[in-house]
Amino acid sequence: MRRRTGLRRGNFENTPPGWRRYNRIMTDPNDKYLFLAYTLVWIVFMVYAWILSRRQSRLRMEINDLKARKPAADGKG
Amino acid sequence: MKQNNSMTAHAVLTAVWIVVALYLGFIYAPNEASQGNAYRIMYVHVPSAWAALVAYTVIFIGSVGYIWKRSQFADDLACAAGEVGFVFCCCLLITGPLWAKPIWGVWWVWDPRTTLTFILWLLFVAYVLLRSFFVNPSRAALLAAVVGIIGFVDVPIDYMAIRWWRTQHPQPVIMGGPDSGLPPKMLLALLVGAGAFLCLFFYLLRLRMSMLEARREASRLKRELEDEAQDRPAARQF
Repeated sequence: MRRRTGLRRGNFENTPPGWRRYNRIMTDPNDKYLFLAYTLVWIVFMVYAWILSRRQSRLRMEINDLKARKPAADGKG
Repeated sequence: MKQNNSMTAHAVLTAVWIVVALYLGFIYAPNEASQGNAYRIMYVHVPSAWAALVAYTVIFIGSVGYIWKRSQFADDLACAAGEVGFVFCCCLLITGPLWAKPIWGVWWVWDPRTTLTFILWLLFVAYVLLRSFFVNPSRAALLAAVVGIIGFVDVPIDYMAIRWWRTQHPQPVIMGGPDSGLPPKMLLALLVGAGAFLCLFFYLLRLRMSMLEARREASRLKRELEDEAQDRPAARQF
């Protein structure tokens, strides 16, 4: 049988102390908009950071490759 | 090496600042009586708006610098601010409707402030596309600078829209006159949040500018290799 933890929104009885504070803060029916706003903003930033890091590592590889080819080309000349 | 250390320090500062801003926005700031928790969207919405407006101002400064002095640094500044500003403007347009739906009952209204912000987003889109479509970099820089200067007209009008006209959008809470203002705890959370977003904006701007410089170095190395490859067969003939 599943133990009741009382984690439903607004249910303060039989709630572990840590969740009591959470329940007191998050009892608004509009919380989903707040949650969605913060989640989407951080997704946008994470995706942009990922794109930048990919571009940066590709650039670094390209520069290292070109630098490695340059002395070789000088040597042949 | 020195620049790497300074970038790392900037990244750490930004991360710490964001954590503090999140704590202040979610825990320290009290609930709002009529809006409940939904008002906390303001702690990302307003900082995104300020960062987007600062980004377009940086584009304007860089564009003027490029047209006036043909400075590569000014062009890099404008180019980087265009892309990073676009990201912040997207956040602004995502969080705005998510606040409007529970408070106004609709996702969007075409009042002066929201319309001008949408135009700002279109300007960012135009700027970024213009940069990526042209093959000739100096032509792209010149045209983008013209767009950057003309588009800047939108920024002060957008900022003043809620002061000049009666709009559905809330009236200003900072520098909005004697009747405006926020309780001290909310004001502190908002200002720290704005500082964190501006710190993140300048970090991304520096990162993007360093990448533009690296791209130029790669092009220079490639050109040198091509020149050497062209010279070699000619040298063998003699």
